Amino acid sequence: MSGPVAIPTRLSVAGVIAWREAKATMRGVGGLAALTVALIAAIWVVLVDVRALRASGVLVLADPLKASMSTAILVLALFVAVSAAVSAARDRESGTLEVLFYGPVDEVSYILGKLGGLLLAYVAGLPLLIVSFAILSALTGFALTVPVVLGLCLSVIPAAEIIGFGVMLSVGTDRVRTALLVLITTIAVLFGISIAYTMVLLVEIDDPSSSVLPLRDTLAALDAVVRWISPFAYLDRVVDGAASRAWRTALAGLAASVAFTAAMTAIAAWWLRRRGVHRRGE
Amino acid sequence: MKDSLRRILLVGVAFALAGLVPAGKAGAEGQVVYWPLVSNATEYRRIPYPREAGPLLVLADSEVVIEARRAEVAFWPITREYLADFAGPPEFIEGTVEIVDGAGNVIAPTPEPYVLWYPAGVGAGPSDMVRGADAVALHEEYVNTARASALRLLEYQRLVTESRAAVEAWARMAADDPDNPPPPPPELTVPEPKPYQAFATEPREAAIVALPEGAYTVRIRARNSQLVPGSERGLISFASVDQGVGYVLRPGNRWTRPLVTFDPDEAVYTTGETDLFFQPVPVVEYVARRFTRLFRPQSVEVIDPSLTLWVPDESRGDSGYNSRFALWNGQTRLETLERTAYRVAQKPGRTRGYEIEEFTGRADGPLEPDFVAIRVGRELPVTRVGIEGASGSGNAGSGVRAIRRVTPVPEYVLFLPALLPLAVGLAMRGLAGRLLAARRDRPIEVG
Amino acid sequence: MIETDGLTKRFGSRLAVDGLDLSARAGEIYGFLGPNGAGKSTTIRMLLGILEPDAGEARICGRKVRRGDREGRCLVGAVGEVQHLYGDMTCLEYLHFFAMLYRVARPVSRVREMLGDVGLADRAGDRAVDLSKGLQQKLGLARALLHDPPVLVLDEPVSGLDPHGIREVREIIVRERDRGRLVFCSSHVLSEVERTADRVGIIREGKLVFEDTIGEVTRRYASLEEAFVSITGEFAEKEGAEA
Repeated sequence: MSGPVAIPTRLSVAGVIAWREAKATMRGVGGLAALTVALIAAIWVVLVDVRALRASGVLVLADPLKASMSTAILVLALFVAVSAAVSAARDRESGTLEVLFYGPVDEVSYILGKLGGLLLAYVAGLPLLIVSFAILSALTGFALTVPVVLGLCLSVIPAAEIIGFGVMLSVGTDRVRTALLVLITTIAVLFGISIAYTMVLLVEIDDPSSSVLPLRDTLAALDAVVRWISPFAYLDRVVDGAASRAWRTALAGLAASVAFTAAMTAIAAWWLRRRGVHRRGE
Repeated sequence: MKDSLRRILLVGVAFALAGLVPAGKAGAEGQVVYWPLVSNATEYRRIPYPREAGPLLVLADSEVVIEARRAEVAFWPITREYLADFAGPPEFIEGTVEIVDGAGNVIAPTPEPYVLWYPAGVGAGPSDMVRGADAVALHEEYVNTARASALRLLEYQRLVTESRAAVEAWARMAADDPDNPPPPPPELTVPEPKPYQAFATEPREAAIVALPEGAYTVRIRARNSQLVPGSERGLISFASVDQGVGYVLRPGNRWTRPLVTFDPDEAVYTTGETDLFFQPVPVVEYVARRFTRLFRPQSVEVIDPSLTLWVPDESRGDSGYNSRFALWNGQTRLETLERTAYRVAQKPGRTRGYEIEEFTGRADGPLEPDFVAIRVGRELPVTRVGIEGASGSGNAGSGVRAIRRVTPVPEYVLFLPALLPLAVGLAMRGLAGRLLAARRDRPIEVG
Repeated sequence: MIETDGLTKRFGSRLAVDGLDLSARAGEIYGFLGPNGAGKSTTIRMLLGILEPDAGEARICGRKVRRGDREGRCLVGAVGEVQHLYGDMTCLEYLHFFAMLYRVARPVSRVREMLGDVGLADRAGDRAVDLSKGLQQKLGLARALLHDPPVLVLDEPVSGLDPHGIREVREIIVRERDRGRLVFCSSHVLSEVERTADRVGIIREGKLVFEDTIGEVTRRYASLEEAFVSITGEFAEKEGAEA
């Protein structure tokens, strides 16, 4: 009885967990469904310009597939956010989390494994997305420009941040249902603030004593905060920044995403250590 | 978990409450408000700069009039700006304007007269600043020309009134004696004088500078050699990032609704149904955040600092656009075209529509063309157009644009790529199923 | 191989494990017994390093048990009362996953060897969640033995099994003991403990109230059941009297 030949390192343990997570995600129907929905949404967006071109006969565009690519990436990011949010909660709910920790798994390797696995699944979907967009480019005649493809490739880093955010939420919940609820609520609040602010800006205000003013100013402050704390805001900055050739913004977004990912990973590991790994009720 | 959520909510509410507090004082405050006349390369505008508006923004090497007034400044919550109250009599700040550059050198421009000259009329085209003695002379000439034009118009109106009166009198006489009508009065052959559209402002004296790119400090030194308190302000002179050629693009079937393409990254997509008429326009690229703040320094719009925008550059006028315009198909040059004047002719008869034809300047036709452009025919297999440089090549600086011909397909065909993930998934499952079956069939050997 | 020194764990005001001192040696089956809520599962979790003690320490093979100690975890193979399995994995994939986690040498052949050892060779391609409870228990044992640990910790290994299942698990446990492993086993099935254990320790209200060989137990009492009831009842009386 000599034990394993080499003591597994944290990285190797994380790698095994990541590979399993990636396979499970890619095997499931969810990933393919998400890709399909992402493409349908993207095509819907590009239809606006297709119809405009058909109606007018002439159109001037810089990156006609930029908006649709951003849409597709957002849908995929939402999918990995959901997958991340249920990942640890599902392991805890099913009891497999504790079984993992019987072995050479600690909080950091577990969190890194979850992050790595879901990121791998996200990356695996990108070539399919590029091929689909290449076909769409050929069908519409709209150019698939290099900056747009670059934005897609760079989206991997803010995707890691979104996954980290989802895993952090997942670690804090006991059940899959609760994790989903928390994630959906969080996303609704983050997007809701931005949408509400955009809509309030459309309201014409004539009178300084209008009750819309305090609402607008509150939403402006909240929107400014959301731009800093929402992981989806960084995705937007990187993808749109690269596609618009705003390289400084894209690079700043990348750096912030890396820092955000590290922070989420650290918080998730700390939280998991605090809460323990056993199923609730045991 | 619930405690953590509660804490997060409290922090969020704190931020929200912070947002309700206005950024500055609610009440009016008297201060030195700079009131420069700045240009965006197309027009000049007076832009008030209270202290809260931050440093003054000007285009590098453009002439700027620096003036300051004392005024009450209050926060206007609707636009979220600090507005200066210029409604009362102006309280100009007496003294010498000084501009200090980064090296500490002081520029103290001597006030001189200036006028703003609108050759096509206010709001109808670009404006120029004319300074010094030329300004006074220009204004004088403008006044004389405008007066003469007004007199000509008055004279013409008098002649028209006289002619009408004569026609009415003849009509009455003809009615009285229809068998023996008097000869009709002569037709009015005097052409209607063209209205004089140009405008020049009254000459004013002020400090005028044209600053190279850089950061400066502007201040006012009173007659007692002391600096006017509150008059020190930052000033940023920013230059363009790049220059190029853009186009106003008129589709032949919608010539009254032109498109513009100023950004060299843009491409022209066409279904090939119509000819395209390219009108070259000199354009210049600026950092978007600074340029949009030129006329709205207190804008709350969040603009990415690394974004740029391309705008028409009126200062370069029409120079260089007698160059030839090249058409390519891939690397093969198809032909080279000149700019041509065109007129829009209504089709005769009951058929609606028009034709765009070359303007020939016939005596019986219109006196001026409707537009001058380069025609790219729909029949040509063009993939790239651009102004030809001196070397005969086209590059981004000479306004190259990609032309992409699109053949519309039914909309449902566009959704075919969405089926690709499903197809790949099915193929993978089929493959995985076969592998699994093969593995099951293989007996497990126990060591 | 397992030693605890004043091991203590508190949950709020409740003292779950109170100054536990026990020791178990290599090549023996140690029966860890106690009534419900005595602190058995808490003790096992502390031994596995997934719960941190408030005081005292546990050592396995002379190495202090610490949270996050990967090397320490490789000395132990653990099997819980219920096998929590991945719904999308076959038995082969399940064991292979854990073999990769432990960086077992030649994982494929090791997995096949273990499947044969526990009698699951013909079920390798079946989904793990589709197995019966007894077979799942054997799969859990196979997982715990993959990395050849010197110590095996089993929590209620025969709970809910039919007589065939009990017998099969018993054979595996005895075989591993004969191979020189320490099998630390908690159970409520006293007849099985009496049949297989070499030594027993009885815990009540977090305290170790009895520890001796099975031979000594059967010498002093008619059966292990009688010993258990007597000792834990006696302890309760003593506690009551002291109170």
